[in-house]
Amino acid sequence: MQPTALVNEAFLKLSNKSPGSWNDEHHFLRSAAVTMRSILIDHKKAKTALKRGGHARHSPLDETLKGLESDWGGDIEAVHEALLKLEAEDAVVAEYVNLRFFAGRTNLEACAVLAIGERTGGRYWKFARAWLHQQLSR
Amino acid sequence: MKNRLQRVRSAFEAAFGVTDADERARILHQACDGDAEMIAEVEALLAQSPPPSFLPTADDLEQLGEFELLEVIDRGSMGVVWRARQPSLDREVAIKVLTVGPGLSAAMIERFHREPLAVAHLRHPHIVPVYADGRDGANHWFAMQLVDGHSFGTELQQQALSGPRRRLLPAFGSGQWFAAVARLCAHAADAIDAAHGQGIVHRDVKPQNLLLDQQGRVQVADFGIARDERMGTLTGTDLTPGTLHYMSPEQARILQLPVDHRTDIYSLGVVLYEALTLARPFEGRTSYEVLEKIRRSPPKTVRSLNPRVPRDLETICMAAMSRSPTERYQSAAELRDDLQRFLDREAILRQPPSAIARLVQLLARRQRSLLTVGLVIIGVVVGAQIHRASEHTRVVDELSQRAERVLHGTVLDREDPSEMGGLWRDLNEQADSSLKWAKDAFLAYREELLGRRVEIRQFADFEENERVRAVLMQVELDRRFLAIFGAGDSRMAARADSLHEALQSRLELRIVDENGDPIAADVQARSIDWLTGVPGDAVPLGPTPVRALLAPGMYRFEARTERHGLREFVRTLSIARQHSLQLAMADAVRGDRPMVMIPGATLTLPDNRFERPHGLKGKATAVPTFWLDPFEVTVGEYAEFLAARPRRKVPLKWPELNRTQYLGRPVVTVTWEDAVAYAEWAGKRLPTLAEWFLAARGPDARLFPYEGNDYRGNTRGPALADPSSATLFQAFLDHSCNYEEGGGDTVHGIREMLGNVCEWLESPVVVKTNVALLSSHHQRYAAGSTWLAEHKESLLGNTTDRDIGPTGAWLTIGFRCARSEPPK
Repeated sequence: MQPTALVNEAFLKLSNKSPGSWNDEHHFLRSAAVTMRSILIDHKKAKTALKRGGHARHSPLDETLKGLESDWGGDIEAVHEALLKLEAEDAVVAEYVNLRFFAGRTNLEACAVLAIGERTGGRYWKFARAWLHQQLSR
Repeated sequence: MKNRLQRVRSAFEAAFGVTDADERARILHQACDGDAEMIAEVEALLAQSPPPSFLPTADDLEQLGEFELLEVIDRGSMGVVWRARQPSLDREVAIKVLTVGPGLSAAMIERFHREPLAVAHLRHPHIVPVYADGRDGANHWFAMQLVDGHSFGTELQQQALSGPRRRLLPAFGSGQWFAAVARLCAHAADAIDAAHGQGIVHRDVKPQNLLLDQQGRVQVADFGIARDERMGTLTGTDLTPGTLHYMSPEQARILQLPVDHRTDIYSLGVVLYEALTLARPFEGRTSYEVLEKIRRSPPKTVRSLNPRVPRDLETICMAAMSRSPTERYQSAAELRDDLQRFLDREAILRQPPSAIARLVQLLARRQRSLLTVGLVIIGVVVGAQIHRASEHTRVVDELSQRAERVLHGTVLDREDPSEMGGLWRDLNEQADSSLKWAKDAFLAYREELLGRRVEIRQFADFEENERVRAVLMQVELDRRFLAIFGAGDSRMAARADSLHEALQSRLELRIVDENGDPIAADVQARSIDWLTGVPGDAVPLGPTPVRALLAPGMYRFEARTERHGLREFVRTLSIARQHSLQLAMADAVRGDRPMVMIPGATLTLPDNRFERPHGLKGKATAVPTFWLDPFEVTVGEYAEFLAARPRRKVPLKWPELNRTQYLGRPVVTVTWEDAVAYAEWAGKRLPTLAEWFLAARGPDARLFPYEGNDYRGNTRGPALADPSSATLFQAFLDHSCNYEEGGGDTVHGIREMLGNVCEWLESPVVVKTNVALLSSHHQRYAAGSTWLAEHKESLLGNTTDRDIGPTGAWLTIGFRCARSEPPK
């Protein structure tokens, strides 16, 4: 499943809970990106724990996790940890990464949500990739 | 002020892409202020070259093959549809794109390319033709004809709108509408019949997949999940995709029958049903609810929803939607022919089912639920008889009573799981045969829960994007099961609750006194209904400090101590956030005038276009007894508040307002947040919309605060006619009033609800859109009328939606306070 679909689902789920309270789409997307990230990280942790017990069960989130990690052999927990650091120092850039990576939004969409220019978003992404790559290869 | 990392980023951004070494050194030196360490850091970052696959994301596309992408026109879980230009043939096309990215499996990609493959074999005037199919890097795509118009789904939405419409067909409800819809379905049936002739079953017929051009001609699109007999089933996936509302019972696996071409006939019947009534036959907030309705109840007849529908069209629609495939039209061509007969005013071949046939149908569908209810009732009766006939120990007697209490409320899902769990364990410790009925009821319930769990799993397979929702529902169900029956059942494996918890608000709540010192208080929370603004049942959170997981939403927290009595606080909790709340209990309930009791009653607001609150109109809302200030909060009262809170920002017009001669006037230019802060300092809260209306208009929602239906002119305003006021503020001073000058008293002696100023309320605004009611959390209602109101005929119309936040301040808006209990 694509993160986009997951976010849309999270949206449906939330609007079921209290219909209409998320009509501010940008606000929703920001929250959804955070939620997606915490869902995935929790899932990853739970999975790691289960593996040790030898009872790993297949879950729809596994596919997403695989997609996010397999292409570059990375570990989203490490991305998460690095992002925590980035959040403390440069919150906007961290949120931008959340939207692109965890919520699967395009540059245009992420920029609209954060109310920044398209080119600013492009610069953020270049910097974030370089910075995260450095953090992760330490 | 930038911190170090932000400075590193600025330097990085300035130097990125600069290849000339000297130039780069110069830029870095300048950007880092000569800080050698920082320059080295930026250099290291610039030297990073992450591989393209590092952190995969969706890309912004510009070109695919020869096609230039222009704009996104649709977005679904199976890719994005673009409007694009094909320069070689100088035409516009639609391109569906699936981007390989996080989590896209090979099976999904294969499925994506099945659509152009399937459609390539179909040449039909009512099927959208495919032009090309390809792959470009990470993007899989195919191009098809661009239908210049919109989908039938959009058309139905447009028809449902009351205002100006963008529609391609005649107006809904007119004779031409029925003919247009019948023709459209006949054409669609013809197209689908052609597909069936080629061995292709569409499997996702719905209004969104029927495209209309400017002339209102229909084309069937989106064979994305079509099943082609020649291609066989996809390996490794046993998915039954489709959209639940339009899905046939066998496709939804409610009937254990093979899915064949007749599923499309059913779906087309549902499309026709929706077109005739603008309502879908089975509606629910979750997939599970929809499924339950398909299973349990027959749809309302078309003509019960819209009596203007021709009888024959109803018969055709209901025949196509028959539950059993054998009762439907056996081919799309038969459906098409009957529709054509209707259009040609010939007799249709189908006959409406007789009344008895309908009854049998109904009973068969209800059988299951009736049986369950019946069993429990019989069980209770038998249990009671046995109970009387034999000698019981006290324990069995008590247990039996508990079981009756819990199990008698046939909707077991609503019973508290921990109480049920306790009962179940106690029942199992007693071997007494007189309790067998209760155990049997529990066992039946256990089987039902397990069955439902399997069903959730089944329909979770329907669509990729149903899955997360299903996981969450399953977590809920599992929690319930485990709470009642424990983890002993091997069919129910314990699951991690992390998903569920991730969506909740984590709340940490402390109560302090006015000096900020923590005090021990008993706290409960009431979830505020987003539609009515009325708080629900109290959920005890225990003594402070409180830690709790709560569903996101708006809450009223009620704190209570022996010394203070009750203090109320309204807060909104967002999803997946940690909320640390510190609520300050006012030492005393403050205010110049004693509050007035408004006895609880049921407020009934008529459903007409003059009434503003969409959440309340047209229904009865129970409002419990509350206490209300007899007048708006005055400048004098607000001055006391500001004296106690010297650091608080003063209202916009405060310097001009805070004069001896105006101390009795209502305070204005206060924001909603100001009003809430004042209320909490005064040991009160803002009234809800329902409360305010009940106080101002009485249970029957009369038009004036006082009895009688005329404007007496004894409340303040209107000011606009007065030329002597040079400024708006001067007009306010000239036309607002203090308590003694005010009037328009309600039966309870509440003053100035029709004049003076509008008043901030606690309730969030409910907005009506063309599809649903939405609550707008950044707006609140301001009720009543004002000194400036042009039309002051009644209490209708001047209650408005206002933005909250630091800029939400008006000369026409003040507030008064309420409490749920009398001051201690």
